[in-house]
Amino acid sequence: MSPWKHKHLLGLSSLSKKEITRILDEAREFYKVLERPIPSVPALRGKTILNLFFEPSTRTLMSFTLSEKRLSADSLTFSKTSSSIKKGETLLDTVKYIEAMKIDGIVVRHSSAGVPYYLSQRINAFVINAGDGAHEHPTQALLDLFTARRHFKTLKGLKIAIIGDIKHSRVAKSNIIGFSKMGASVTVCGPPTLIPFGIEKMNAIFEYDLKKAIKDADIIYVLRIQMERQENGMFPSLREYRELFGIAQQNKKKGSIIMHPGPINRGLELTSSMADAPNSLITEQVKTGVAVRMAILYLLGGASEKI
Amino acid sequence: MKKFKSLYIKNITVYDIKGKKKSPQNIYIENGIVSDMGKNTYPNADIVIDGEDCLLLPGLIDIHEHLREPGEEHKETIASGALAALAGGFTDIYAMPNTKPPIDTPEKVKFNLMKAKEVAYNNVHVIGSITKGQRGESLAELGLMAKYGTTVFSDDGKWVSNARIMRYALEYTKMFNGLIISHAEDLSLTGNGQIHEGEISTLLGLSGIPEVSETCAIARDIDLARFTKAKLHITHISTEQGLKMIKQAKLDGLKISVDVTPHHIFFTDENLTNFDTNLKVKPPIRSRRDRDSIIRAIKNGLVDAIATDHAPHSKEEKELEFVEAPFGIIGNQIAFPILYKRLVVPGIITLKQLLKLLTSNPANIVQLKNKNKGSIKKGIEADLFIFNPNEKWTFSKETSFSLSENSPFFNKSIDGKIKYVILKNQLHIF
Amino acid sequence: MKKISSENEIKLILERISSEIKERHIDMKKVSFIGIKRHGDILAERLKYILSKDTGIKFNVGALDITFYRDDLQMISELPEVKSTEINFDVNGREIILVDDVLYTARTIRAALSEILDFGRPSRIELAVLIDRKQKELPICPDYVGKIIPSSKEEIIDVFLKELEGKDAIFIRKKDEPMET
Repeated sequence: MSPWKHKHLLGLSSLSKKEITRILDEAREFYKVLERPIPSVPALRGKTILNLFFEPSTRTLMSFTLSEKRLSADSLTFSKTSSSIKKGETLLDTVKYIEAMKIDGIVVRHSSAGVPYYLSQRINAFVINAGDGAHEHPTQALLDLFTARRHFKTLKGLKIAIIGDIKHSRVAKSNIIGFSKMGASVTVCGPPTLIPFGIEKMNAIFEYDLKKAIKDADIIYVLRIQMERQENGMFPSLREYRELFGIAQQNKKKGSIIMHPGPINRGLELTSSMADAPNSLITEQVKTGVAVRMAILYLLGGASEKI
Repeated sequence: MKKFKSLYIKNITVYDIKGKKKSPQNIYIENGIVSDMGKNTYPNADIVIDGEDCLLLPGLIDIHEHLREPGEEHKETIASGALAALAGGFTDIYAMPNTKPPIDTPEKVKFNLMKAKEVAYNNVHVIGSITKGQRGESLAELGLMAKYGTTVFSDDGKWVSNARIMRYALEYTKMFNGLIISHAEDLSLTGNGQIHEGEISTLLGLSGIPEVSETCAIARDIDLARFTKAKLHITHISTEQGLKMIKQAKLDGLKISVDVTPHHIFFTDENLTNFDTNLKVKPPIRSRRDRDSIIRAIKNGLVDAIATDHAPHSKEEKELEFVEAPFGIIGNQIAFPILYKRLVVPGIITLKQLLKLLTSNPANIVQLKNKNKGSIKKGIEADLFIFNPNEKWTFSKETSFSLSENSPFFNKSIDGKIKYVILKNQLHIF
Repeated sequence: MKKISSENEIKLILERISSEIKERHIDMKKVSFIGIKRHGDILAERLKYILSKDTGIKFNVGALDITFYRDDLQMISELPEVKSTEINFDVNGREIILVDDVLYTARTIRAALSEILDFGRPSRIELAVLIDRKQKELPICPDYVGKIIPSSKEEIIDVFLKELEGKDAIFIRKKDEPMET
C-alpha cells in the first residue's frame, strides 16, 4: 500500500479514487473497534486535537469529539461564531494562538469558504475541514460514501439523486465530487435558483422534475433547506417547496435508500414517515460518521511525519 | 531626484506613438525641453546617460488610481501612490474620488490638487464625484468642480444606480465637455458575490458575481449616453459580452470609450483556486473566455486604454477570510513592464500600440491639457522614461513605493525595469 | 544467511508446544488462541488444529492487529496498513494463549496485551512463540518457546510459513544481506 501523502484534508477534490478507498477501508476497521466492549484504541495517545468551530454545529462537533476520544487523543474545543471574531480578533491571531498551544491537529468549521486552506498554509498542525462556507464538507461526504458502500457493497454504478439547495450546500458539493469519483452517477434536483453554475462540469445531471430524478435512484440524498433562502426570494414559499421538492412518498425503485446529513426539517424536505422508514440510513450515517472521522484522524495524525 | 539644466542621453532606441525612431539616437534636453534629437553629441551636459540596451519612451498616463487620501493614509497617500506611479513610468495620474470622505466639492478638489503639487513629482489629477457623498441621490457641484480643477467625474465602485441621476449627470457635464467614468456594476446582481460566477465559484463555494452585474449596467449606461448624446467612459471592462455591447455602441457612433486593467489581461478565475485575496478585485477576474476576448479587443483596437485601478489595501485587511477581505490590488509600479512582457514580447501588439493605450488614447479620453502626450519630438516638454526590457528585479517591500502590498506580483520577479523618468527638468532614478 | 529451522522442525516444535499447553491446563475447554498478525494468527490456527485433533474440542481462535496500540506510532514516518483484528468470541474468563512468531523487543506483546484487555478480562494469558531472540526490552517472558536463538540487533530473523510465503522455514541473516526467497 502506498504511503498516505496528504498532510491535510481540505476537500474531496484533492483526493484520488484510491485515496478515498483507503479512507473507507481504514474506516471499516474503526467501525469494528466501535463494536468492541471498550470501543477505543490508543492510536493517538499524546496528540492534541483542537476543534475550532466558528459556526454553530452540534452533530459534527460531537462526532469529531467522540472520534478523538475513541482514539485516545486529547481533544479540546474552541467555538465562537464568526461575528464575535469580527469584533477584533482576526483569523491570523487565532492562528498564532494555536501555534503557541502546540496543537497537533485542528478540525475547523467556518462560514467562509477557504478558511481551512488559509490555516493549512500558515500553521504546522494538520487541518481537517469540517465544513467551510459553500465549499466542501469532506468528512460528511466520506461518511456518506462509507454508509452507501456498506449498504450496497460497492459504489460503482450506483445512482444517487441529491435533492434540494445544491448552490449553498457544501455537503452536496463534496458528495457530487466523491460519488462521481467512485464511479456512481449523480443527479441533482432542486429549484433552478438553487442550482449552481457549471454543475454539469462536475459530472452531475440536473433534473427539474423530482419524480424523474428519483425514479431510478438507488440513493435519495435529501438536503436540509435553509429558511433564509426563502426569505432571500430564491423560492416563493415553503409550501411550494414542500409540494415540488419534498420527499413524501416511497419512490418506485426497489431497494433504494434515503440519506440526509441532518438536522432534518421534518415535514418539509422529508416527511417523518420517510425519515424513519426501514430504508432510511439516517441514523446509520451518525454511527459511520465516528468511524470515518477516526480513520481520517488516524491517517493524518497517526504518524509523526508524512512523506 | 536630480534637477538639471541640461541632460544628454546617448545611443538610445526611441519609440513613441508614431513608432520607432531612427536608431540609435542622441537626445539633448535643456531647460525641460527636448531641444535636440539625432546624431549630435553633448558631452558637457550636466548629466549624461548612456542609453545602450534601453528604450526611451514617452511618459505614461493612468486614468484610474486610488490614492486613499484623505481618510485611509495607512493604505496609501498621494505622495506614496504618486511616487509608485512615477516609478512605473506614469507622469500623469488620475485619482478616484472615493476617499473618506469622498471628493465631491470644489474645495476638496482644490485641496487635493494643492496637496498633490506639494508632495508629488508627477502630475496628479483629481476626479470628482458625480453625486453628493457618492450616495447616488443628487448631483455634486459638477460645474464648480469643473471650474476649479476637474472635468472628469466618477462615483467609481458605487455605480449610480438611479438612472435619472445618471441621465442628469451625462446631460449636465455636456456644458463643459466633461467626462463621466462608469464603473458599470449593478450591485443588486453582485449581491454578496466574491469572484466571477462560473464553475470555479461553484467549486470553491464562493458566491458568484455574474457577468450580468456588469453587462446590465453597461447596457443602461450606453442607452443613456445615446439618449443624451453625452460622452461616456466605461472603466475596467471585464466581460466578453460587455465588449460586444461597446463595439456596437461605437459602430452606432456613440462617444463611448473603454479601458481594461492589466490584471484582467493576466489572470482568469482558474488562478483563484488557492483563495488568494490578492486576486479579489472588482470587477472580478473572469473566465478564460472573457480574458481572451479582452486581449482580442486590445489587439483589434476596440479597447481605448489600459488603466491600472491601483487600489491599495492594508495587509491586515487582505489577511482575512476571503469573504471579509476588501476588493482591489495595487499595480501602477509594475503595469508597464508586465504589459510589455505579456503583450509586446510575444507580438500580440506592437510597442507603438501599447504606448497609445497608455498615453495618447487615455489623454484624449480625459482631455489632458498636454496635447503631446505619447510623442517624443524636438521642441516639446520633456515627459519621458527610460526602460530596460532585459533587467530583472523583484517587486517587494524593498523596491515598492506603495504603502500596501496587495498584489499577486508581490515578491515575484519582474522582467523589465524603468530606470529613469524625466519630467521637465527633473531626473528620477529608480 | 543461515537456515535455523526446517519444515519438519517447525512441525515438531508446534507439536511439543501443544503437548505443553495440554499439560498445563486442567480444563482445556477454557483455552482460546489469539495470534498476532501476520504469522502468529497462522501459528495459532496450527496449534488449534493439533489440539482439536487430540482433544476433540473446538477452540476459538482470534487474530490481532496491534497497529493502533503500537508505542512507536508517533515515531515512525510511514503509517502501517491497518489489518483487521478479529476476535469473535467473549474473552472474559478464558485462558488465552497469545501466539507470535518471534519474540524480539516484547513491545508487540505489550501492545497485544493492552488490546486484548480492552476486549475483556481473561482469567489468564500465556505467551507462545516460535523463536525467542533474547533481546527483550520489557519484563515479559514467554510461557512456551520453540527455540532460543540469541541474536544481535544487526541480525534479522525471517519466518516463512506455507500459508503466506509458500514454504515453512526460518532463516537468520545480517541486516544488509538480501532476504531468502
